[in-house]
Amino acid sequence: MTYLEIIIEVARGIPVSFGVAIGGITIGCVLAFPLVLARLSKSAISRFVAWAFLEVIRSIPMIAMLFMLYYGLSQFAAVRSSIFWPILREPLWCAIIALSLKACAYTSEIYRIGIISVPEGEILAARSFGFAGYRFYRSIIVPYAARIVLPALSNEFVILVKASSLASLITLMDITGLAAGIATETFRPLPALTVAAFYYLAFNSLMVAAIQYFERRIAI
Amino acid sequence: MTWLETDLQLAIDWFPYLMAGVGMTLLLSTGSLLIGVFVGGLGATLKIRGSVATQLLMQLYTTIVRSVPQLIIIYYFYFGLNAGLRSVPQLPGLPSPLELPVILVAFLSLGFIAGALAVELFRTAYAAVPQSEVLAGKAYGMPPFMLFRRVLFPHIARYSLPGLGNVWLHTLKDATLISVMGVTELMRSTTVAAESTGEPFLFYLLCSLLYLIITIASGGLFAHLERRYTV
Repeated sequence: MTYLEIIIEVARGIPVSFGVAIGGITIGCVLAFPLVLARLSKSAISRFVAWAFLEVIRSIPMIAMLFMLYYGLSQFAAVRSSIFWPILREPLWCAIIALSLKACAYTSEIYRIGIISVPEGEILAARSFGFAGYRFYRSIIVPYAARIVLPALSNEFVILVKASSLASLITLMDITGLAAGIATETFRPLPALTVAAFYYLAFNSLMVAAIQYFERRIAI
Repeated sequence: MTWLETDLQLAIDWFPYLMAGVGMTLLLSTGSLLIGVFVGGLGATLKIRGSVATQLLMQLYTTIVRSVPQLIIIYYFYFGLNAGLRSVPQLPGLPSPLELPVILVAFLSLGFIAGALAVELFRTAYAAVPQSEVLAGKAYGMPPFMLFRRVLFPHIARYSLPGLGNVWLHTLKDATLISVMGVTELMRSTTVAAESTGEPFLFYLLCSLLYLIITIASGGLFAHLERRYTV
């Protein structure tokens, strides 16, 4: 295989890889909101449950989670006959679910640091002006927290894009899977792996640049 | 027998095998962390003191490890290292063909990844050393090595301890990827158990539980070390 053929062949994995990555990150970022609210809530029980969930998700390796979802769940007849089976039988969805779990655990911690960094005085002032609920978060917390959160998020997103490569281990033909396939078939591993590495490098660089652009937009 | 009893029996039967996997995972992670600390120390020195060329090289190294998936780096070492060695022209007198044992490739690849994290860690720790103490050391006429051992090293070690705990956790989780090389660490032994018994869920759950225990234990260990070594 020539370099050009490898570049084209591995490119077939781009939609899969970045679909998993973007899907997982988006779902994770949304799920992180209720999680962080539970983590900062007044009730000790919901604080504990959220904390325990985070610790468990964070300490389980991504591969174990993927294998548990993809290979583990299918051993139960109840799962195979449930309405979720069309989703759980697809490696693509298993990868997205595992990545969203990881993403929501990591992201909620970042949100939490952003939220607790809002100065006490601002919160008191907003409360005394009658800000509450959605308006309170939208106008007071988010503008402050975003400046703290965005740089940390860009780091986290890069880690999650990298983690999406593990989906190749549950038979998904993403960039890593295709590259590893070519590497073993042609006995010339370096070209295929280098092409794959470049795709990830390019995607991550673009993503970091985009987030930095937003950071500059909202900077004071 | 209920399914619970069967599962419990299976878990007990396979427990020694899984524990051997835990041992391998800990061995891999510890060895790789040591390699990573060595590479990190060397890399940070090159980044702080080195010429423009070595600084660029270190920048390239950390950027690549930060943005390329660990799995691809591990494939690079696994497929690439021995392929690279085979392409080296055979020298007379050397054992032919030179082949690295898989476990060594595993240590090197994990160490390479941990090293990049450690470079940045040591670099920031170095920047946090109070310059006044370095100046005082120089004023007393300390030779460079003594200055490093007596002034720089204690500070750098203390500042980088929490970050080192992080590198350890990353390495511990990256060690699962070594299963693609066929090294029987915890992930691989879990897969073997899952496939031989047809109970994948039970064993991946057990594996996750073991990882949870290892993570909590290492969190405690590093918290203890930090308490012990902070002034």
